[in-house]
Amino acid sequence: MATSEDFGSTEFGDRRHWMGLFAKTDVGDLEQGWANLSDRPEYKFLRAPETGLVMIRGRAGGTGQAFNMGETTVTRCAVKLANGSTGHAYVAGRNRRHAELAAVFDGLMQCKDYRLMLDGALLAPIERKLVSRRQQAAAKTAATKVDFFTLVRGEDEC
Amino acid sequence: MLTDAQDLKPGFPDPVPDAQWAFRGILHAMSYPGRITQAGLALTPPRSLDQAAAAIGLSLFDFDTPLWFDRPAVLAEATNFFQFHCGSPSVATPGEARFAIVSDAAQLITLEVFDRGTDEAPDRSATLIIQVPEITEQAEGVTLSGPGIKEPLSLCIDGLSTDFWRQRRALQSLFPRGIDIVFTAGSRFIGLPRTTLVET
Repeated sequence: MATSEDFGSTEFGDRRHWMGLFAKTDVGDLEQGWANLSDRPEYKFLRAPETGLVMIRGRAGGTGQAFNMGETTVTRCAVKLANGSTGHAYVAGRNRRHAELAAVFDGLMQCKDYRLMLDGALLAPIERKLVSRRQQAAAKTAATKVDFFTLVRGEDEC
Repeated sequence: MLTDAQDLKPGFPDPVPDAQWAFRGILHAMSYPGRITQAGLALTPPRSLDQAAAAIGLSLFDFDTPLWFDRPAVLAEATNFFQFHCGSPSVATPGEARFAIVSDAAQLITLEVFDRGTDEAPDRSATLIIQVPEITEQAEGVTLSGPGIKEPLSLCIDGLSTDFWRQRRALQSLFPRGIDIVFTAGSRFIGLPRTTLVET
């Protein structure tokens, strides 16, 4: 797992990792994963999916002062599963179903049994897909890289 | 994080209409002080919190309204509830709170500790939500009069300390500064704005 999303293996790190994967993958993957689940638990909304704006902050060159780069649309959701665990999701965009499923899977991942099953069946393929997508984008970007250099103009010799 | 969210109760089932409905109820209660209003919503409140208090909180609280709870240990679930659904911070000093939730009115520390606003900005005062066991309309209680009340009306509000009404009357001379109060009992509530005159 040599991705930049790898935050270590503490409890929060793991959760942050899978929440990130569920949020960044396509909603189709989550639908598929939900359909493939043999034991689909009941759940109810603590906070029904709702769309809002979140300010994205950045640093010039990655090191400068933080500045407000712009706002992005985010849909969030919180669910409570029948077994008592609570799942949260924040997903970029306006897809409510995506936020709902991401929250449900976050709740499921907190239960050991589901986690063992989902780790291989859902998380690993999503991660492979996202890593390869990222590598593809990086390769595409790298191909357009331009090196700026200045020719010697011979001004010193006149 | 995995454990403290376990007790979280859902907010309004249908947030926009439910919040509007609750807000309309609060307006009604504040415009007609002493008139018993029903919250009447399908809402499961957190432990130790009245349904009416939960509905009022969900429609009025936000990240700009620090909350103070009279019994933080008893109302821990309510604290989480409002933090999650409304983003409201809770404060330890009653004087800093915009809203105070009082679950045991008999033990309530004096009303003087709450923010009464200033003469320039009387609106920046605290609003108290006081949970009581029962509110009944009967002659031997306190008599309310003032704006919004056509004929002086009598109410009996259980569970208040003996000194409460004296403290409330002492605030009347401060107008326009003052404290607005909502009494809740289950899903019923009444408003007691600062303009209402109280006689015991």
